[in-house]
Amino acid sequence: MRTPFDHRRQLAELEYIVTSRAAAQSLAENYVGLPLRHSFAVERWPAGRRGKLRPPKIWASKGHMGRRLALKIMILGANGFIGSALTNAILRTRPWEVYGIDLADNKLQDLPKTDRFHFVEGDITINKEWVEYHVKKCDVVVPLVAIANPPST
Amino acid sequence: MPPASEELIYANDDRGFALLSMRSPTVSRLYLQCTPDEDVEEWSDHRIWDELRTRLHLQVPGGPVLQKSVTPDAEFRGRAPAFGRLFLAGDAAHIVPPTGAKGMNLAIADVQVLAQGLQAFYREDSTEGLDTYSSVCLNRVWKVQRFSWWMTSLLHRFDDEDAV
Repeated sequence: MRTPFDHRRQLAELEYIVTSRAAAQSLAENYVGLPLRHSFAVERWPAGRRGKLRPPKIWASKGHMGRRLALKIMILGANGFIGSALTNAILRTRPWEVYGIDLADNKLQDLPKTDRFHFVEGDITINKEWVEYHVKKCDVVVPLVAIANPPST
Repeated sequence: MPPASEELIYANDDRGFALLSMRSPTVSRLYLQCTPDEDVEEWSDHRIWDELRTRLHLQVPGGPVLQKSVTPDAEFRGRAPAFGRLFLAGDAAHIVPPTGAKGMNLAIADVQVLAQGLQAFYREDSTEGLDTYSSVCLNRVWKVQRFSWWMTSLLHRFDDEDAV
């Protein structure tokens, strides 16, 4: 049995929330979400500071001797809600190569015309060799496979 | 089905907690407190709608149940979301109880921190943002965990008997 004590305590707290402005505000702040840390780090750090690792200069679209640095991105779940939007954004705004895999390609119909997108229709739990090969081959792997889309809208 | 209410409804009922949240004009997500080892097969659509009406004291219109499952409320891993060069964000990194409804907020916050860490790494050659990704994210995750736990304690029945 729920003890009457616990029940009364819950009711007292609920009543407090709906009658106290401070309590309601606290609930609202937590519910909506605590503030994001704006511009974390980037503004705070001195420009050009070197860390322990030396990262590739991928922002330069032209590398040494005018060669284009084509970063290779592998996207698992490229046809998903986030995967398809990311694929689209990369192909439109970056000179990178994208290697994508997903069960279908219905959300990838509006991609820009480019030979930088390499898509395989497959299942990561089956096409393991393809995945392993491209993990080695690519500079960045973005795993976006999930059962996440709402059943219907 | 049309939503029973445009407002989110949390209910603390003698039979246990219930939550009604609208996802779209035609789809709602609904929660009923039950025992963690409850067999989902014992919950017919009819029983789910009846139980919701009882606990919410509201004429919830019925409709097809598109998906149903038993979700453990206490599931939480306070593990670091970064392992070497692997960075996890959102539910992949941490699952919090649904009571606080914070899954999306947390995922967006993770991505914001990670994006700025990656930006600093590639633009400024600085690893500080990526090095501190785990601790910055965990700091927020624990705050959300605190809030979700508080919401749970406020709205659930806690006893040795079955909730229903």
